[in-house]
Amino acid sequence: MRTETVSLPAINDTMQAEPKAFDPRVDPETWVDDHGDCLFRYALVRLRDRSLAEDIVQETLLSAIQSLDSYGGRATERTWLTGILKHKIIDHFRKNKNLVQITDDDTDLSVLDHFFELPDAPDSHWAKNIRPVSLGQQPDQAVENGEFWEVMNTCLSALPERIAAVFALREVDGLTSEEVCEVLSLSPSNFWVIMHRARMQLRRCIEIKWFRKAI
Amino acid sequence: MRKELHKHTTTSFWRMPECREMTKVITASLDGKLSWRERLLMKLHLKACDPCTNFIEQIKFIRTALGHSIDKVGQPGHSVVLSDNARSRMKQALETTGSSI
Repeated sequence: MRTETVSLPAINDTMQAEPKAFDPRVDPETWVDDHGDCLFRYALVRLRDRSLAEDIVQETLLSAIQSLDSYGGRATERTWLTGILKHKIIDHFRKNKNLVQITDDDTDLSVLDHFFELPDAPDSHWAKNIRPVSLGQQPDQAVENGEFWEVMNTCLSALPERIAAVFALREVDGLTSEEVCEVLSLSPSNFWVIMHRARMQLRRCIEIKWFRKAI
Repeated sequence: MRKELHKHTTTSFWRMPECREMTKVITASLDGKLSWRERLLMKLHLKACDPCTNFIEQIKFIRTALGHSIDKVGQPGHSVVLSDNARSRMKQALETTGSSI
């Protein structure tokens, strides 16, 4: 495929096109009280280490206060801060490759055997009581529903932690497959096995706790 | 990435894979390019298989939901909060940095 060079404005340029005056909606004095706990939980679930999570949240707030100019007011304050935190965490993973060490257990797909009719066979149909059900009309409403997010969080934390870490980078933080592999030094084949396992188990968990009930 | 994704189905070339093999291809379709053979197999399989059609809908739904959730996910119960110590340390640091700008 031919690549054409088109110069697009960088995201930062677009954001900085806003007037640089101090935005009255931003008030760093209230950050710790308003967003501290939320940012901390976001970091903790990814880093699994309290003091590390605290440090990285503090670093995030300090970076934010130094780049107030780049806050265009388009996102909410919390989304903006979370975005900065996300990049800090990715950098941290990148610098500490051994944080997410994938083991043979993580890539063992036999944990999915019972989802299928013939657990011992390499291939077969879905087991009768596990066949995925139709979503129906619920998707849009679910995202607005607090209970749905409780189910989602419960099901995410039921995944083995390294699998959840890989899955979250890809699906929550929106990195490309290649980026996740690069950040965590994962081989592409381990990456897809982990994503497969995560999706199979997560979907089953959410189905039991939510999809089936919501129909 | 593409080379590895090529091997999601382990069945022989002419045998039509069943659901277990197809779920691998279906999940892989959300993370990268499939080979032409995999794309074709997936299309044919989905035409004839309701559970797998529901499966791909569900995992796509999970993706869409999570994509809009950066500040909703990762909150394992609101009982997990910053320690008082960390809280005051952060306020102090913000004040010092804020006043020096």
